[in-house]
Amino acid sequence: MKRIPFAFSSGTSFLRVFILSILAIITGGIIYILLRPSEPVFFDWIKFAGSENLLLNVRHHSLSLGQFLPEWFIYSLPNSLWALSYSLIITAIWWNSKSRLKFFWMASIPVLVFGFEVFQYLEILNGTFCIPDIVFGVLGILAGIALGIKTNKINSYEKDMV
Amino acid sequence: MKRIWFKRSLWQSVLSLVVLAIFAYLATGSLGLTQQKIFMGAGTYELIKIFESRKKEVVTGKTDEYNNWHGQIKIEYFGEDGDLRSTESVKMIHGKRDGESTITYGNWGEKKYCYEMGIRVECDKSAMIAEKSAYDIFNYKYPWFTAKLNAFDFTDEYIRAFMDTFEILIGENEFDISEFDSYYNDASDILEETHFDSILVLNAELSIYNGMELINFDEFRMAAIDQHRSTDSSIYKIIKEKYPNYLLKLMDFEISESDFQLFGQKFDSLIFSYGPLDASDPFYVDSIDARMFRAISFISSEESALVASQSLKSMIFYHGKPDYIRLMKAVEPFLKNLQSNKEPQEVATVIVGIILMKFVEGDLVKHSLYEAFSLKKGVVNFATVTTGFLGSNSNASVTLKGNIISDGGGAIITKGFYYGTVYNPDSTNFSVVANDETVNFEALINELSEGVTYYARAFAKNSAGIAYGNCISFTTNGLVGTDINELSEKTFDIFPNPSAGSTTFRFNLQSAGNTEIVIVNVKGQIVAQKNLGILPPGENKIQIDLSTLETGIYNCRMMNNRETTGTVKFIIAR
Repeated sequence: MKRIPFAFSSGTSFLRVFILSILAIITGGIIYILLRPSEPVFFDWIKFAGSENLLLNVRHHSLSLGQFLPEWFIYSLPNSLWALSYSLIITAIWWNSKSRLKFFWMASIPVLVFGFEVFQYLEILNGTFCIPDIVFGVLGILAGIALGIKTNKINSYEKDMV
Repeated sequence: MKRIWFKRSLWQSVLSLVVLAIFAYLATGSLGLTQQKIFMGAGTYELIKIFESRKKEVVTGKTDEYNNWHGQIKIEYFGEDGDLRSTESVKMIHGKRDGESTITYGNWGEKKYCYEMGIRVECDKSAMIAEKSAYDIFNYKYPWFTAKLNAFDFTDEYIRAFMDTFEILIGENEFDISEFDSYYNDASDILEETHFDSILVLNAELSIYNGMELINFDEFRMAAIDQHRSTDSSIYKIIKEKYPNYLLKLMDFEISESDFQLFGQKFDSLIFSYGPLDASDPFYVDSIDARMFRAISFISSEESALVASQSLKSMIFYHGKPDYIRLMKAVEPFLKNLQSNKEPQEVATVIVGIILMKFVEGDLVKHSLYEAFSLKKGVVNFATVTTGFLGSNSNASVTLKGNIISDGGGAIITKGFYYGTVYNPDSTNFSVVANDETVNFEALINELSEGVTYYARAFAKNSAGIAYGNCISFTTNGLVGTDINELSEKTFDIFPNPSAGSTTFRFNLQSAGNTEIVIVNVKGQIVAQKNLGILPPGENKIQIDLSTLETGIYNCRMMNNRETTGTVKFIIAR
């Protein structure tokens, strides 16, 4: 029987991609929440969870730390990590697929990551358009795709071993 | 086989869609900016306020040392498609419209209005207006606000219908003027269920922005900015010396001077722990604001105060959708439940409460309805008065002018000026009564100390009480009376002139940079030179002792980043 490639046919690789993605999301989120002076909309989610006071006290100390860190770390890295996370999952799901849908979903990576920046540039969305965000977005995407391909290779190897 | 492929692709797509949804949600969650401030260079800023449906207001101009708009300001309103709806061009003095304002509408011409220190007046200085309905009052007093509503698709007819309905709903009830707030809220709740809900929502948003501008005049905030500019002062010392009325205001909330002093120590230590700020940063004052609110939030560890201060902070920093209704509902019980203990956290709570009140003051629809209601009930309101500087007569004498724009519905009993060396002087300071019978009045103030900066406010008393005009400052000077309001026209000024020794140099910097003062005698020789270091853009004031200079005429050059930005001739005489 011809083998049909599917990234998550192995539990080990699924766990690997999942853990890497979650780690990237959490790290980006922590930088966002603790080091940025601004309060994004998802602060309301934390307030809704009833952890507002804890968050405020932690932020009181962490924000001071922010002045010792470079701007790219606080303002560009979180989006880059999220870009990495998204491109990693999408690549892991689709890289070995022979379906034409693969191209659609792979194209969704730059569309999602840069779409927000383009909309900000066109002032359709609120926010600040800046080149470092684009550069870090590219780096995040490339790292995510590279990791995704690597996971697929490991996955294929694991399957070949069966 | 094909079926298996299809099934697999379907599952992969479903999984990808879930992932995409999660990330799109994360990405939108990271957005939240409703206001952006951009430094354009040469001391000019662009402030973009973004409203519902992508409509926006863009304000461009220079600011003073407290971040108030100062000088010629351009305000543009854009529709949801980014089309320019109208433009207002107006001179502002420390955040208040003053002089002629021209509103140009995209396709159909322009309208002109006149203001005196933020208050609408007739351009030909004619007599007081006879206002009638809430809409008439609203439309007359705040034409810039009407223009804003027009730009955001609300026609004059619609605004009139909205205001009339609001007024009828409030007027249906018989109640005392002291209960107005409660009936206003009830009427507002009813209107929320009608087609007027959209204008209510926009008014709520605009009121928040108005409140933000009013917060610039909060004395604690001003003191916090002064504290950063004078590195060796405590907040308590600054408040006590320059803003003593703030201490009296705190006493209304049973906060004593010693309570505030204790709070001040905590506040100072927190501000100090945040480290120094770069005065040349164009967002220097914004950073001070951020630190001030951070310190207050930290001190107010009581849950209610913490929540209130954070709500406020979110709005101040423009990083959250302004939720006016939630805030308004939070303010009232918050202030009512203030305890009279003397802990710093309680002082912080009161300070936040006083700031929150500015948001209530920002609701101009409410103001107009209140005024109309009180007029109909025959209730006398406070008069409306403005203060101006007419000129100096000698080293120790100046003439001030006042203008009663509205008598508040009651006869003016007395009028004049309060003055002193503290901000917002009142009856506890010096006073001079004006005997003019007209609404425009003047008064001569004598026996002032030379070279001292004074503050003054016009006042007008009717049966409702004493109404104060805007606070102006001036420094006594033998040759030219220096009105702080006129500084935007000058870039460099010295006083007193002639001087005997200690001399004040006041100058406007277009951009931050290394600043130097060079004094040259009539022979062209440099006799004194002082490097002032890096100073922020906007107005700066420095005092230098020139007692070592011989009597004579000198030229003083102001250098900013090695470029001459102004020259003034002055005399040393003893």
